[in-house]
Amino acid sequence: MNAPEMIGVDNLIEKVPEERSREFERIWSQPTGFIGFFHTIDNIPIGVRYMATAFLLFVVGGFLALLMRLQLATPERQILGAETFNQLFTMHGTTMMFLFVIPFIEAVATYMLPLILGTRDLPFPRLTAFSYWAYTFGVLFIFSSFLFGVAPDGGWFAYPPLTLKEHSPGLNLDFWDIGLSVAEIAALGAAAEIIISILRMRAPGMSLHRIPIFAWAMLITAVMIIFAFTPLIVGTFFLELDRKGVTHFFDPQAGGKPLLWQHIFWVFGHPEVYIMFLPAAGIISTVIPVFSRRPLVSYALVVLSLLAIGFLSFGLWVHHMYSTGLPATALGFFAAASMMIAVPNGVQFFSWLATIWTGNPQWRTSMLFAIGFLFNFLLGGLTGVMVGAVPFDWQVHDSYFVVAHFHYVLIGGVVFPFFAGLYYWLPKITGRLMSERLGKWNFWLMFVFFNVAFFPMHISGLLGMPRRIYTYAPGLGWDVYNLISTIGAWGFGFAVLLGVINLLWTLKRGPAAGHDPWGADSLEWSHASPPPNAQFKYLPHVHARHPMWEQESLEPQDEKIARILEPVQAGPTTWRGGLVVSVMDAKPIAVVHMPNRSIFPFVLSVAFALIFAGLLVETAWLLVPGVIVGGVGVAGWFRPTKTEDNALAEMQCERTDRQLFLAVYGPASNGWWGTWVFITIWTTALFTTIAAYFYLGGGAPEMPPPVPNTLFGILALATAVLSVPAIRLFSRDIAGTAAGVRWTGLGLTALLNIAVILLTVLSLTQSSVTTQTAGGSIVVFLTGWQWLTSGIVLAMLIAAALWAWFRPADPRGWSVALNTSLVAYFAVANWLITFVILYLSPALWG
Amino acid sequence: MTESLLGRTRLSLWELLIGSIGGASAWLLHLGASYLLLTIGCNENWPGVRLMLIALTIGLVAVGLWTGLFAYRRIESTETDADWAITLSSGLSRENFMMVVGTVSSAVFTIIILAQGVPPLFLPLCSEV
Amino acid sequence: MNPSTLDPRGPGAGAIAELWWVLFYVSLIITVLTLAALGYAIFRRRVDWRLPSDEQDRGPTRAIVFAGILFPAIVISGLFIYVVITYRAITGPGDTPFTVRIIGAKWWWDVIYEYDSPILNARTANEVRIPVGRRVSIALESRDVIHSFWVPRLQGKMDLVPGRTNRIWIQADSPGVYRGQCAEFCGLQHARMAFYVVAMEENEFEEWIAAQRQPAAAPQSDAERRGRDVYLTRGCPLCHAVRGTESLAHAAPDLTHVGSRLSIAAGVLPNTRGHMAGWISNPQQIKPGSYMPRIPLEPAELQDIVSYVLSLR
Repeated sequence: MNAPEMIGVDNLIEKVPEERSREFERIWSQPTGFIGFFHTIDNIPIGVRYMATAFLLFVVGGFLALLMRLQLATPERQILGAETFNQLFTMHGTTMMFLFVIPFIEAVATYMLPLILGTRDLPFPRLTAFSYWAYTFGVLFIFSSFLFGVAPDGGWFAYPPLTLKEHSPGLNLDFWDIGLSVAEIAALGAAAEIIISILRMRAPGMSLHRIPIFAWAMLITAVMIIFAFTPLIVGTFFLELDRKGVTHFFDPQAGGKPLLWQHIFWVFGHPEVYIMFLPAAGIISTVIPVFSRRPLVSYALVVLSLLAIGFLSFGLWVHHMYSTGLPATALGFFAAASMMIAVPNGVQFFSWLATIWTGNPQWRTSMLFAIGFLFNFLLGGLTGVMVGAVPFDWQVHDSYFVVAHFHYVLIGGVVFPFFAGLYYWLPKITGRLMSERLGKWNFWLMFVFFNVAFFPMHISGLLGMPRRIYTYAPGLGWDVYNLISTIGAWGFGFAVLLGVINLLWTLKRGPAAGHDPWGADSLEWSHASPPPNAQFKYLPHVHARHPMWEQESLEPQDEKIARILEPVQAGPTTWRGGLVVSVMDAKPIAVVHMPNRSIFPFVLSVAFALIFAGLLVETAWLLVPGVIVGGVGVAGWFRPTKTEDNALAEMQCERTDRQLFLAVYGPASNGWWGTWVFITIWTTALFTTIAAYFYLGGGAPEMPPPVPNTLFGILALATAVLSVPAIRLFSRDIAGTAAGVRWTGLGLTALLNIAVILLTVLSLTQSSVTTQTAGGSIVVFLTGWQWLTSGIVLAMLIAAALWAWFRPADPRGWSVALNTSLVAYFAVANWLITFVILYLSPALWG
Repeated sequence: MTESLLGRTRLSLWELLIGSIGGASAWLLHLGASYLLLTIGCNENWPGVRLMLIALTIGLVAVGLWTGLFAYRRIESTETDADWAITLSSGLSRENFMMVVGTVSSAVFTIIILAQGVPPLFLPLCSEV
Repeated sequence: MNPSTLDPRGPGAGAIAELWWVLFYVSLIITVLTLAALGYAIFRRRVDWRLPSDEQDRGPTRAIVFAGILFPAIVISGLFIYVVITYRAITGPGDTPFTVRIIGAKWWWDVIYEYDSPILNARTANEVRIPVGRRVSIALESRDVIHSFWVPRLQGKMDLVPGRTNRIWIQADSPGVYRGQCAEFCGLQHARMAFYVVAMEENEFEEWIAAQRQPAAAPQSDAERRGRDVYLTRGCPLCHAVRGTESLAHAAPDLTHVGSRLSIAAGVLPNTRGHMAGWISNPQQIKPGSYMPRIPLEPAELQDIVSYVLSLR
């Protein structure tokens, strides 16, 4: 099972004329120069920037913790004041949880997933670039708060009422709340891409049960992001509205409930930690088999575990709220699930163990980090089962014991795998091998100092030391453990620095890595290191789970398949084409056009930065330019391009089974799938809001949510339902519809949506509903959600109308129209559901 | 054989779904319905909340066991030449994979449903303490 | 005095400590066994190693299913039942004729003893005295942000959430002083929001609470009389209460019997003349950002008011 000599797409004999090969490389080349830097949207350069930025945040976030540890080294120290310390621990947590781990994972996925899956890029390159730029601006935004001395100071979890304006009057929490929005948007964008990429864009023959475990992990993680981050967006929206004095969701004086925030936050927060862990587990499932020289034992069970963990993680959130006074039986439910999640985690663990046991381990640095992970994660997982037990958690919640637990699972269980992945993949990324000697020092020092820093925290927690305190009294038995932790933390910092030094040394002096230094099994190792921009010039054909180990050749063996793939082998040459395959069997179906350069993702990020800054200080001087720049960004992003014209000229768009077609519109296109992801996000947000509605309404019979004006509500419903035939008019039989008919449909739908917005506004103004109470706040928010939804439909209708006017026969216009119809139908469903909730469910109140 | 989103399969789409995620769905339903029942029942002072929760548990344990058996019985019909343990490691047949995975997952999720059924038996129902 | 959860002095913390040891030993055994297996997997000698065939993988896969899924599921289920039993043991109502209503504020504890007939009520701050051997009911509320009541040697913690009343009981089985601290981040001086639970024999407790019900002792010495004048005229009554005088506000700790408390500034400073003087003269030095303003006093005034305050036993 050694990699056969001939393997590797680079080694394949060029089968096309040199001219074509060069044209192909040209269309896939990067924009150059200073301005070109902002035009780049390829996954490889974006991935590198993303990884570098995220890793920098790791170092910065870690440094904040080192400062905290200095303050806590001995009792009653005066190095940092209370406010500074509170800002530090808030920013440490916020940085690590929102600005490092998930972005770093997204970065690795951005770079590696296409290589692992055997494709040329992610499905929406402009979205990839936008995610990166939005993230970077978000980082700058939040960290700029330090310059003004108002860094967020409410904890990374920002519980109200502490974080409402009354108790946090400064801009600190606004920086946090608004700044996070960009992290959230970037995460959702990445999630959409990852899902569509893994499900549709893989090498031919890479059926779903042949994809590498890392891809399974990313797929499940991405789905989790959709369902976890969306509630957080709703929640942070609620918080910011409360802070601006518009609403009163969390204010007990107005019937609001502080615990609503906790429910929403932890419905996000618990899956969040598994969103961080699953990709790390995916990395371990990649590294251990390679360095044990055998495939992972029981791929199916590991996939099952990942699915089970992803699923189960949504049912555990209340374990962060054990001490809030919820009924014992309810806490019992969550304790059961929280303790039992150890089972699927255990399955992965035993699978890795069995792989090493029956394998032939090679002790490279990467493997050392994997073993270090196993040790630390074992301890972290066991303390996790402990804190899942309610009575025990009642003692250790919000104490240093729990700090120890989550650092064991987050550093031990996520950072160590990141380093394993770094040592494993950096040779591929840079083309140079890292120093094994420095690497071993890096590992051992990290491992030892990590345990020195965090193990004593179990003890100080059990000895009664609470979290988030800037100092502590002497003589309580906590002193020596804090000192040891501080020493360990600083040692860990230096150990990480060693890793950075190794990285820098590698860039300068590392020996050439070749295409497959580890003798690994997956497709990324079939390339030269670093991979060319024109990756997978010849798409590999996969028929085994470990192509580099189990296949003689990556060329299509079947004549029929070879013929079907002909247009995409070293082609297309005047536009970038990516292959779309069937979900389960990876049969080649279609080709999609992918843009090669665009500055508009960057422009749109600038717009977001302006808008967010404008919201922060509440000034039109920033908001208005922001919206204008945003408009420019959106228009530029979606405008027709030359390469798209080339694609349309060269390939047909009609769906056919006989050959590859250009998937521009309809269910075969990525845009359609993207629209469905968007609808899923929107639905999740709607249901989060509905849950908040019932939470705020139930249990407070004296302050149930008020009902808006029913007449206008019904009129709005009728109007919405009326739009259904209008939508059908412009979207049914898209290729065959006459322009006039389409125009009528678009126009009618637009008018009806405007009417819905007006009628729902009237339903509020013609009633006594105000946002002064919690109930009123949620009613207005739910109604406002419809405005947002219909507003988006209107924007899309305008785009569809522009296409229908200027290029009625252009399939891109049909695509916009079809995707718009999906969202328009959804807007109808949105009001239908909202109507039932706002107007009919109060009858249940009795 | 049916032709569907999952390609050519011997089992229908429903059979594949029930077999593979039936157990997990039962668990999610149990958690959600129990929490909801408890919250509303305690707020509205319904009598017999405890009994309802017990009934819910029994019902969904039954569902979990049923889906487990459902999947287990289809392991044979979707079998390839290999033993189930080999299928788990080598993945020769996608449907077989899904049914094996479904059997094991139904077993685990049924145990979790059972565990979740224990608190109403021993703990105070509606108050915090 | 160390607030260790592993040195319990009451049945609440006691039951939890027992649970801890069970969880600990089970975890220890699992850790040792797993690390032994890992060690063996890493270090075992491989002679003529060949890639295992699918047939050879049957064993490990079966092992994972039975030892890795079913066995842990059963162990954890068993543990869970024990957890539920422990949980049951630490919940439930108290058995005292009074409830201690504790209202959290930034950054102190308002402590009200509530009986069925209100004439028996008493009020203090930052200190909870309880009779030994009785389950004392505690009702927890907050007037601003979320706090958490945690006295590790006696019981698990419970949050004080604005807009709701949470309940817990604490019981001490031997007399002593038990330290507690706020365990939910509540802003600037969260680190300095501690309190003491003092457990006394039942008869001593009854004496103590009877004294707490009384209005403040009249000042005995000249210094104390002068001190009372300083107290009443320099703004203290705007926030504090001394029952028996016209100072009856409750925005800050009740001072009627502050002289008999063990600590001041919410468990931060021992209640001695020196510390009291330091606190009154410059609270912002000790707890920057706390709501007690710095009121400039002449040295003589300071000494007098300290004498007065300490006389309020």
